[in-house]
Amino acid sequence: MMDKSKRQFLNRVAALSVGSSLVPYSSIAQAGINDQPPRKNGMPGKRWAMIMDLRKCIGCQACKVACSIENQLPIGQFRTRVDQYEVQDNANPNNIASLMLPRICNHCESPACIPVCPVQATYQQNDGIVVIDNNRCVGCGYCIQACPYDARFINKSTNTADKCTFCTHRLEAGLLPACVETCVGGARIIGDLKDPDSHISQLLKQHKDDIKVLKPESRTHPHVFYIGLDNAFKNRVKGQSAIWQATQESTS
Amino acid sequence: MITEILTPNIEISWLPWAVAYFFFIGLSITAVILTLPGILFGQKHLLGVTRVAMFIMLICAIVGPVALLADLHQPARFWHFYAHITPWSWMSIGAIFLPLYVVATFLYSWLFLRPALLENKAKRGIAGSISRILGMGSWQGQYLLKPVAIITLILAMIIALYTGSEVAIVASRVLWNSYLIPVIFFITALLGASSASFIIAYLMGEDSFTLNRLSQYNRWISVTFLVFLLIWFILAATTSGTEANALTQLKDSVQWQLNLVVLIILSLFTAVFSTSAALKLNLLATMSGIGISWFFRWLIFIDGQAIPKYGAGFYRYELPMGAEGLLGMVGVFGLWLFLAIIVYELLPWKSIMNSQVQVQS
Repeated sequence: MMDKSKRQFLNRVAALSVGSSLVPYSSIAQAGINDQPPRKNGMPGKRWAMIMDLRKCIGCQACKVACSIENQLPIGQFRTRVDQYEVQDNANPNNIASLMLPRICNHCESPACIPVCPVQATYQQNDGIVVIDNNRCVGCGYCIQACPYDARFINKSTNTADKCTFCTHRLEAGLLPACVETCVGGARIIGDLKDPDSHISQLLKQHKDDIKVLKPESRTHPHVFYIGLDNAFKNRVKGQSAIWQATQESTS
Repeated sequence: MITEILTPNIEISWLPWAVAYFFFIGLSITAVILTLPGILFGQKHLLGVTRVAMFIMLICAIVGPVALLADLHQPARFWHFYAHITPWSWMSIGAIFLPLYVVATFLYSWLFLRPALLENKAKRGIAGSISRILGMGSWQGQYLLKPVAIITLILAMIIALYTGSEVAIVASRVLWNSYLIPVIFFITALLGASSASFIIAYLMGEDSFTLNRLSQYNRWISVTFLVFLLIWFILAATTSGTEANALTQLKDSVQWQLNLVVLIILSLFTAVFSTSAALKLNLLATMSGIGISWFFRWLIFIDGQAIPKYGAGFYRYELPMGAEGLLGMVGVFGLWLFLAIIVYELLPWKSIMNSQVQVQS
């Protein structure tokens, strides 16, 4: 793999210096984003994933609190959260429903955040979990830009990129992630996709017609699956931003 | 109808320092192009343009990387870029070529100024001492100027390629993920470089030929910018690419409509008044040219990060007063001014014209 990287690098340097105008631009741009470096560490033979069962989430934000305490995040910064929406039926305005949408890093199969990291501080474990070596991270914020889900942020106390790790330290000790353990409705289910008998594998099979992921068109193959997600929430929400009225966009 | 009830306001991770880096490095690499006709093709009448563009190239090549370092949240770890080289990341490629480019600009301006340094060796006082130190012997090095100019140009184009691509490949940001971004970055940088060169030329007391030439450049580059803005809109309206997504997301926002109006007014002002007979209007037009270069980057980076990737509406950004905001930007322009004064006063920018003309003939 190292040899391949070296070869690619030399090719690219040659391409850049010999005359960039002669090289099709798209081939270079693709190389910058599509290459996934080799996976390392983690639990071999497993592929961790999570199901968010929206029918069971009540928006109590206990997951957010549990995560903050477990992972010792600075006040006001969160690795997980539950967004809340009000949905009104256009034909019948009295018909109003709420949606609680738990959000977390999607631990994608082709993460957009990893190939951009200039120092290989963020990487994917063999078990699919995307983590950050915050002793190596330079805090350039490039991964934060690349993530299609706004799942990453600069941790104000470490000044490095930070995100959900599926509580990999707890999984390795045989425990559930803090958010899963605390979820009162049992809306978060974590498990190993490579084990056909695991609860998550069974649920995915059982609900296969109703399983959705966020922003599937970003082709990152997210591994956080939603049950009960309406198509209106699959991609960017076309709605009214209630918080910042001054800059709201049109409603639909 | 969907109404957002609870969602966080995501903070930006590329700070105004990133705007400053892309602004200064853009000015520097495009100023290299402006220096070339006087050096490579022996166009002596363009040596005035060469001199001021070289000045811009040099000062901006120092200030840009300082701003870049400040944009890292862990600036002391910059050496990790070299300990963990990552050829598949544009930023890592940039980290390799940026120092090479900065060294090339030093070498290029040193070789350009050297004939004057050699002449000033016999002088008394600071000018003489500096010339004796920086002259480094009395060997003739003029033959190195052209090859070094070409190397600097190649490195500058690599920087243009990496800075543009680094932004354009970010698929998750609708405004960034466009092949037009590297091109428009380049055009607006060239406009900034040419405009800044005009102001320096005015301050250095260049002849009217040089001033006219630079104002012609300004006029046509700002027209080119408008053309590319139009191409962006044509792409957005006729294709289904990211430009179209960006237009859909932004077209109803009053702030973005205003942003666009300001960009167009500034460009038209630069295009119309760059070549006006009134010097004051020329100077205002060049200020507006520099403004476009800065403002375009500000829109792409700061306002661009306020466009949610998933949520509705926009995130709110308020410019902080401290080092991550206003004070930082005042500081980085202060650094530019400080370096400009030092470099202008200590190096023979004034006498180099005569020396170069003599050397070239």
